[in-house]
Formats: sequence, C-alpha cells, structure tokens
Amino acid sequence: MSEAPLATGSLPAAGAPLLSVRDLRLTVAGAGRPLVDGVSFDVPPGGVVGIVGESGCGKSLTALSVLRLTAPAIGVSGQILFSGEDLLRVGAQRLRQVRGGEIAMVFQEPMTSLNSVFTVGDQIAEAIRTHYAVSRRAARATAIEFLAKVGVPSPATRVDNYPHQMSGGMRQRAMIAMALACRPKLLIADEPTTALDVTIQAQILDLLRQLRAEFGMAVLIITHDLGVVADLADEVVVMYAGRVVEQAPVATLFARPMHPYTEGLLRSAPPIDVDVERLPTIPGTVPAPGLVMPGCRFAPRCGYARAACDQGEPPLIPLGGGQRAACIRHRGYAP
Amino acid sequence: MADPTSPAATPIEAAAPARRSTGRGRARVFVLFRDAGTRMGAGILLVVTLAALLAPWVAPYDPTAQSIVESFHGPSAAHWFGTDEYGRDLFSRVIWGARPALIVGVLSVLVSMIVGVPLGMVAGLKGGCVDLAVSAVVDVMMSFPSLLLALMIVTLVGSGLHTLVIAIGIAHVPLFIRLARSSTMQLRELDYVAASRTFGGRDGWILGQHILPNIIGPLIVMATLGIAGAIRDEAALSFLGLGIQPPEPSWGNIIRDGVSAILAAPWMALISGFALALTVLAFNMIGDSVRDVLDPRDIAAASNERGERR
Amino acid sequence: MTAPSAPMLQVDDLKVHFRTRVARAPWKPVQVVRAVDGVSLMMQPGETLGLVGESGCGKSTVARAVIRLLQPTAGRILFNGRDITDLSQEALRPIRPKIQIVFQDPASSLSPRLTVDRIIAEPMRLAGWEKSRIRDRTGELLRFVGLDPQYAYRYPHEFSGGQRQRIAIARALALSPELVICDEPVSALDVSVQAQVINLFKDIQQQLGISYLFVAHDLGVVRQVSHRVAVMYLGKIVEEAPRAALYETPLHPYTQALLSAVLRPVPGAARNRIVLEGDMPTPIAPPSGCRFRMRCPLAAPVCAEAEPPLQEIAPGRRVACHFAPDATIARP
Repeated sequence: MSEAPLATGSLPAAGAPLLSVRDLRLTVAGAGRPLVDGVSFDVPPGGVVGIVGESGCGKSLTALSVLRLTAPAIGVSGQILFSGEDLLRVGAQRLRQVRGGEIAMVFQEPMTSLNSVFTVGDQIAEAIRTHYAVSRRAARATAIEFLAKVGVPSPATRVDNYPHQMSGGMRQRAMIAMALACRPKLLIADEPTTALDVTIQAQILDLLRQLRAEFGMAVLIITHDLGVVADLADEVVVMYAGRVVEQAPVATLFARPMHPYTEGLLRSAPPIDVDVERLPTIPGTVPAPGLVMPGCRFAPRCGYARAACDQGEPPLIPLGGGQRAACIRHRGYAP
Repeated sequence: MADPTSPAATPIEAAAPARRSTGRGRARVFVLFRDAGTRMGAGILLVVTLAALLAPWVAPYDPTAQSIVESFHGPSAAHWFGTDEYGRDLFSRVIWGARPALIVGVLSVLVSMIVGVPLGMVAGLKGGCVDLAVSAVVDVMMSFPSLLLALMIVTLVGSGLHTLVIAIGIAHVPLFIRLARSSTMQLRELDYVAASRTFGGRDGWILGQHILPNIIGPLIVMATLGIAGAIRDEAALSFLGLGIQPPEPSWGNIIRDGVSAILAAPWMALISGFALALTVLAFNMIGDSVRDVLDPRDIAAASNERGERR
Repeated sequence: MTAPSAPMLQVDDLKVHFRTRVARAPWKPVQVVRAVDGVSLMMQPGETLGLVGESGCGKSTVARAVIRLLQPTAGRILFNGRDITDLSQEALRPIRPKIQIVFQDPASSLSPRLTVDRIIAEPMRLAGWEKSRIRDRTGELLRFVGLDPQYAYRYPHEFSGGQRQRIAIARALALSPELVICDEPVSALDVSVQAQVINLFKDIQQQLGISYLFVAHDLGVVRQVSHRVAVMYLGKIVEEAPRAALYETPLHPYTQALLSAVLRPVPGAARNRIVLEGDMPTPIAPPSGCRFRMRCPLAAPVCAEAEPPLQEIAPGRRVACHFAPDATIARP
C-alpha cells in the first residue's frame, strides 16, 4: 500500500480510538478485484461513525468482518483493533466474549436474525446469560427492563411474544434491546431502518440517539441513505466499489463534499422541499464486482475525469478539518 | 398517440450489460460430467442401452431356446453366466432382459409426465376447486404405495408390456402432479406472470411461456429418478409373476426363477439382481447430479415425501 | 395543467377486501382484511398522480385493482368512460394494451429464462404482430429507454438493476399504453441510478403524453414525478392535493407527520420532526371513526365517533380530517 499513514480522524482529543480498522482487505480467490480494498477508519469511544455507499460497495462486508462474520471463502487481511486488540488474531473463546458482549450487532431484517421458535424474552435472556453469570429470573427481569428502555409498550407481556407476533418496528426494537442487554461498548447497526416505514424509522433513529446518550456506547452505522447519516453520525465514511473515497465530519461532508461521487450522491437524491425539472444524475452503473480497474474506480462515471485518473489508485488526500478525499483533483492541496 | 421513434434525451446509463455472459446451457453440461459419479452412471447406462438395442446381435443364444441336458450348468466359456432350469443361456436372457426394463422405465415415466405435468400445472395455476379436486385424487393415490397401485391395475387389466407401462406410469403420476403443482404455485406469484396477464396472456400462454420453461429442470430430475423407480417396479411385478410373462426374459422373472433354485444355481439370482441394481443405481446417480446442478429444492422435498411413505 | 377534460381514469369508492382463514382451521371465523376501503380517484390524460403511504396502507392494492390483477370487492373503475370493474378477463383483452404496469423488482418481473428481445416481444406477440414488425419495434424501444439494441439477445441477469428496470419499462411501452401504473418502480434501485430512471419516466411522459399512476413510499421521489399527490393511510385516502400545495402546506396531521419524518440530507435538520407514536393498526380491525386517531396528536372525542369524510376544501384539495384546514401539529 502506498497510502499515507492515517491520522485518528477528526476527534484527536478523544484519545485512543475504540475501534480502529486498518487497511482491511477482503478477497475471494479468483474473483479479480478485492471486495474490500484497503479500508481504514476509526470509531472513537462514544462516537457515531456512518459508512455510506451503494449496494456492492463493500460496506456491509466491512461491518461483518469486524466480528469475523464473513463467509469462510472470503480471505481477510489487515487489522481490526478493538481497544488495541486485533480481533483478526484473537482465539475463538475471546471472540465469543467480544461478540454480543463488547460489540453487538443489529441487522436490517430482524425477522431473519431473531429465532422464530423462541420468545423474544428468551432470546434476550439467553444473550445475557451467555455473557453474565446471572439466574434465569434475573435475566428475564433485565430483558423486560431493556424492552421498556427501547420503547416496547407493555414490556412485561411483550417479553413472551414470538417474533412473528410483533410488527416490523417492534421487532427492530426487540433486536436493539437484545443488542443492548449486554451493555456493549460498540453497536454495529447494518441498515437498521431500511426495512421500516418513515414514521417508524424516525422512532428508531430517535431511540438510537437517546440510547447512545444514555449508555455512552459508540455506534458504527452502515447505510445507503445519506439522510440516516446526516441524522445520526458525527463522522462519515463514503465507500465506492470496495474503497473509501471520502471521509469527513458530518457537517463538513454535507456542506462541502470533496469527492465527485459524494457530490453526485448528494445531488441525485430526489429532494422533498423543492421541485426539480431534471434530477442531476450519476451516469452509468457501479462497476461489476470482478472487474479489475487500474485507476480511480469512479472515473468511468465521473464528470471531472481526465487521463491521469486511470493511472494508479488515487490516495486519500487530507484536506483539513478531518476531511479526506481520494481524488487527484486535490493533489498538492495544502490546508 | 405518437410512437417513440426518437431516443429519449436521458443519458444512456450504460449501453453494455453490466455483467458478462456466462453461456448457461453448455457450461452446465460440463459441470455435470466433472462429477465422477455422473460419469460412472452414464457409462453403466450406455452399456445397458447398447445391450438392449443390440440384443439380437450381442446375445450368443436365443434367450428362449431350451436344452434340458444343459439344465443348471454353472458359468463356463460356452455359457458365461451359466444356464437355468431349462438349460437356457443366462447371459442371453440378461441381455434381452434389459429391453423390458428400459422400455417400461422410459415409457411409463413418459406416461406419468404426460398425465401428471399438465394436471399439476393447471391445479397450481388455477387454485380453488380445480386444485382441491386434483389434490384430493393425488392424496388418495399417494396413500397407496406405488407398487401396490400398479399391482392393482395389472390385476384388473391383465399382464403384458403395454399394461405394465400404463400401470406403472399411472402409479407414478401423483409424483409429477405434486412437483408440477408446487413449482407452479411458487411461480404464479411472480411479477412476470402478473405482467403477462396485463398483456392479455391467457392461462395456456402463461403455462407454456412462463411456467413450463421454469419447471422443466426439476421435472427432468424427477423423470430420471422416476425411471429408476419404474425399472424397479417392473422387476418387482415380473418377480411376482404379474409382469413380463415367461418364457420372455425380464430381470424380475429371472430373479424369481433364481430364487426358487437358489441352492442349485445361486448365480442366477445374483447376476440378474446385480444387473437390476446397477441400472437403477446408474439412473439414481445421474438424477442426483442433475439435481445438484439445477438446484431444485422442491424435488428433494417431493422425493422425501415419497420416501417416507414407502 | 390543461383544462379538465373527460377523466381517463375514474375510481369510485373502490374496496378490495381479502378473506383470510387460519390455515388448516376452517372452523375459525374468516377474517376480512380491508386492504382498500373506499378509495376514489380521478386522473386526466397526460397526468401523473402520486399515491403515497406506508407499507400496508393499500396503495399497491389500489394499483393492482385498477389494472385488474386483483378483483375489486366493491366500487367502480372507469377507463375512458367505460366500466371495467366486472369485465371478464376475456372481455378485458382488447383494453389491456392501454393500461400497463411497471413493478418494483425487475428481478422478478422479467423471466430469467427469456432473452431481452423475447421479454419485450411478449406483449406484441400476444397482440398478434408480425415477426419483422416486432423486431423493428423491439430495437426502437430499447434505444428509446437508453439501452443498446445490440444486447437484445442477453438474459436479464446479465444487466444491472437500473438496466433491468429500463427493460421492464420498454416492455410496458410496447403497445403504446395510455396509462402506466408504476408500483414502486425505483425503490429497488441504488440512489445514483434512481435519478436516471426518474428522469426517464419524465422524458417518456413528455414525449408520449402518457399518464402515470405512480405508487411509492418515498416522498422525495413522488414529489419529483407527480402533478398531484394522494396520501393513503390504512386503506383510505386522507389527503389529496396538487404537489406543491401538499408538500408546502400539508393539511392532514398524518401528511404533516409523514413529511416531517422524512430524513433530509442536512445534518441536524430532523431534530424538530414530529415523531408519531406506535404503528399503523391492522386493516382487519380498523379503529372506529378516523383511522388515524390512535396515533394523531390532535385526536379529540369526535374523531372516535364519526369518520371524517374526504371533502374538497379548495379546488383540487381534498382532506379527511374533522379539524381541517386548521389542524396543525406543533413542532417540538
């Protein structure tokens, strides 16, 4: 890797990061280009980092690899430092402690992550008893407490519901309660509101914000929706075709996107407050997964592209204020 | 209304398809033969088919020619597989026995498919009363083992090659109805079937254009496994004396003769039983590997249902 | 907009109810799901009517009933003045080409076993066209939606999501329809591709003058394609207005909450949104009176007693709220 060594993002005052992903690379044998290619970012303690990108950009794989949940056929290299400990190198026992204990995960479709033959309460209690030596009764009480915390009405009865007896929003709350019950230091949320309606999405986002304040946990949120990021994150990582193309504090990113892809994404979202005759678009489509590209992967769709873009991958160039963009237009930038 | 003759002002998203072509059909055949089991199954099948086709030329003796003096001779240079009670050459009889096995196997499955697939597809597409009626018949038929069903038909109509084909074919119809029905029910919910309706597609069009091409894979697998079952059933009926009638040779009736003379001539039952087992195995192996290549979960489910019942 | 002419599509008090039975328990009472429970709509030629609402509100059911993929339980559907509500599938065949549909997921609306040219040819083959005419038209349609006709012999799985949706659009346009029903046509697409397909829909309308009944849950998308917008909640329309009026001065409390809940790509913008409590009730047992009252911050006793009618309070503006036009939810 010819990339410049990384600074600790925009929050140097926060000290050592809680999670630090370094040069993560996910490969499948014989698949051409790596699925995730040299991704690095930090999550400070108590911070909220959002990873945005379209389908196939590698954002979900990145999230899964933090807990080593990627398919066995995928080769993982790089470092995933959690409080300084490299999760890619810890033993199975330690990994079990971390999974669900110190790092919890919430998925897009709770129906597939909750087991349909056990009650919600049993599943939350089981998660607690995996990590803490408490009685069945105490675990159940904690389950009820957490269901109440995530805003499930009448938690004492809901605790005995099976997942199919709950609505989509309610299931997602139960899923979050399960994730929180072990008081993780980091919550990874993979598209937590994508399957939900807007009014329910608003409830869940408010809930996440409130819980973050209450528990002081860090959140890594994976989403395709810039609105979710704007709503929740402090720091944003934009991914395209397996690489980080831009990284910035949330206000900076939305006010002054420096990578053409980020700019295009922001402009092409259909606005709700104004009428637009023609929506600005990003031409073309995401490159096919196996396609090996010598230079900038966005160049074929980029309005600013020039010949130099096809010569070598552009590195992430620091632009001041914690913002970095992988675009050669910023070469020689001196803040 | 104006016809769209001029291209839209929309920027062309990407003229070329996003993914490369994978030439599906041929690639799958190669994948199929990469498996050693498939190659072995196909090899056995080739030998059996050639034996059946070329029986008059390959068989050294007339399979029905008796020679009392040679009764129960063991395998020798003159009679590779030995002789039976009437001194008939067993090698010739086993070769000729491949004919009824393959004819009954293939034709009866054709009968099952011709009857079962359209019924199953119509029941699956129409639902309601049609489905209820078809399913009721299937459930009644499925409550008997297929062999028993074939046996009843043969007992009623009489034995012979034609009745065997019909009887075994009908006995296996429920399998194909079930498979065609369940696959159709999954497909009919898909939007391309709905879209076809909005163009004015009638039931027949939808079945022919959209349903059949998508269920043909599972049906082929089921047919291959069905041939194995039909060959087994033919042998069983002949064994019971209700199938191919002596002196015409069939693996089933050779085994029967062999069993009654198991002490005098143990090779008779062993050799013909081996021919039967090998052929059934070959069809099963091919069916399994076709299934693995085509990924049809529903066939697995359907054959399991059948398996439990037996 | 043009002066109101004869409506192309008129839907009167449409009801679509589904009877469901607990599987393998025929002795239990049949439940009636009131998916659509009295919807009236009017569409002019060349117009786009956006139909928005959350999942389960019945918007897709309305769309499928209008194109007669679902049989209405009650009400009337008039297409160009002709009642098509109870026509048999056979009697509908001559009308079918005039009303077409584009589905949400092009992966399921295009048969995986057919090449693109065969997919696009299907409506024309059913209409009895000659082979050469079909071939010419297929090439023309592919170019029209921005695809290279050279790739007509490929299978759908070789194309990206956006390209597949273009194929589905080309097929819907094959027989020159007057009304195209769009059932969440861009929801399955990535943001960067979504805008391209939205622009394509608008270009097609400009060139061919067709009408869209555009069903979607994304309020931003609906704003950018529609002339008028109707908002549905639990099987009923709660508000209908020209798009600017609806988005700038929403009158129904539900519309207000819905609009305020939409995430804007502006950090911190959503801090003063209205967050509704709870979920949409089940359409099996809708609440008495106003269906929104269980979640409405403005609910009063009258809301439980009487169902507010959808009444016209200004030209083209219809609202179903007892307190309209003065119902305004206070922002936090």
